[in-house]
Amino acid sequence: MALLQIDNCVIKGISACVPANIVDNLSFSTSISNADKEKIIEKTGIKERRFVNESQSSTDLAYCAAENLINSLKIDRNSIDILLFVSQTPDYQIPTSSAILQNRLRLPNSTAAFDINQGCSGYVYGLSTAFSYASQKGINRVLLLVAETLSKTLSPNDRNTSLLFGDGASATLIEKSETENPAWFSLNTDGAGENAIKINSGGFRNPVNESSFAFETDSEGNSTKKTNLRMDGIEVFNFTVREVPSDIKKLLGFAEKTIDSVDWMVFHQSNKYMIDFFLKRLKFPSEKSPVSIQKFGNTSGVSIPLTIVSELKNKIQPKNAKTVLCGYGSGLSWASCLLDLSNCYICELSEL
Amino acid sequence: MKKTEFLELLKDALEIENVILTEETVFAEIDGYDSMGVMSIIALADEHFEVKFSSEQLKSMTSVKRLMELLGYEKFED
Repeated sequence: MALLQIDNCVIKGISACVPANIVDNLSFSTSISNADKEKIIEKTGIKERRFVNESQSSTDLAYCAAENLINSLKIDRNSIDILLFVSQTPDYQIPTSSAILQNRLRLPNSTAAFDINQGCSGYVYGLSTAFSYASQKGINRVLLLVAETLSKTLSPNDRNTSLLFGDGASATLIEKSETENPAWFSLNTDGAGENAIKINSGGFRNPVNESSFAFETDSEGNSTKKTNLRMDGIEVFNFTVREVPSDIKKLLGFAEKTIDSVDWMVFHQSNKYMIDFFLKRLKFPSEKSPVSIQKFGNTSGVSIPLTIVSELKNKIQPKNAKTVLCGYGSGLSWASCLLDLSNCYICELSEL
Repeated sequence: MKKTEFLELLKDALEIENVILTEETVFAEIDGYDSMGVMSIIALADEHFEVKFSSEQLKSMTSVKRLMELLGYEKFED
């Protein structure tokens, strides 16, 4: 069971970067009817998203977020010991995108750098990895980058995905702290749901071939290729209802905290209906759970730090900084954590 | 819970009007029923009955009757 407490670490700062290109859902070009579009927009709360252009990639967005953070915090690049890059839309199959970013960010060659392949739970998983390293002797600073360009995986004519996902990146600096400052994590997996969110072809079980690019139409009229992201929205919602609220209760029980002591709860921005449901089930006030989904859609692992940057700047004070973060998605995988954001500098959102 | 009360609750959750729901109703035959409707049922089951579905149960949930069985048929009275 992956319930863990990690002491003596702190989040020093968080930044986020989104593409400047705004995609409005109502005018988005798709085979989905206008009536259906309006219904999807109403339920999911997603009005617009940001899409990269053809030449931009995940590491471009991550670089932009990282530069913003490093410059805002005025830290010495040589003091970064570890670079973690969480993404399911990395630049290449080989090499690891974190190496490309180590070079581009001019971090020393003594920096450890590797990618973590994780989706919507990726920020919390990444934080747990960063905290684990930062709590060790010898490691002082870890730079955690999360970036996705899911727009490149979408079919425009699939009501399960085409109006929901967007692109973005975030950077988080984790540092060793003098004070105990405990953080608690709960990390979970259910691979029986591997098909619920999947890109079938393009990996090495099903390498790309001619048939990968043939459009296939399902009973609802959704048209996708095997290289597109496909999602069974009902299966995913059912899984989150089953697992998410109870995981947050499990986490708080492990940390010996009550839900009333939590100042903020930031959910992965999957859809508004889902988030409202969690809040109702947990009896947690919605004004303490920021939402940015109307502006950016579902940006996978990026959505939690993006929401912190976009919605919580100037709102988190040392006395109200106890924050639950919760991500859930492909794998299936879900993770939540409770930590204190008192010392966290939140950058202005940047655009690329 | 009274069956009539449950059928009203279900109707509200599905946001459908002008449709008479009975135990015999097959979800796929309801005009305008879609994945959002299924989500509403999942939410209703958890909220009002504290019942969570497995994927298999969810796939078998094609009618009102079957939904009531999954929720626990003994919980309903005429």
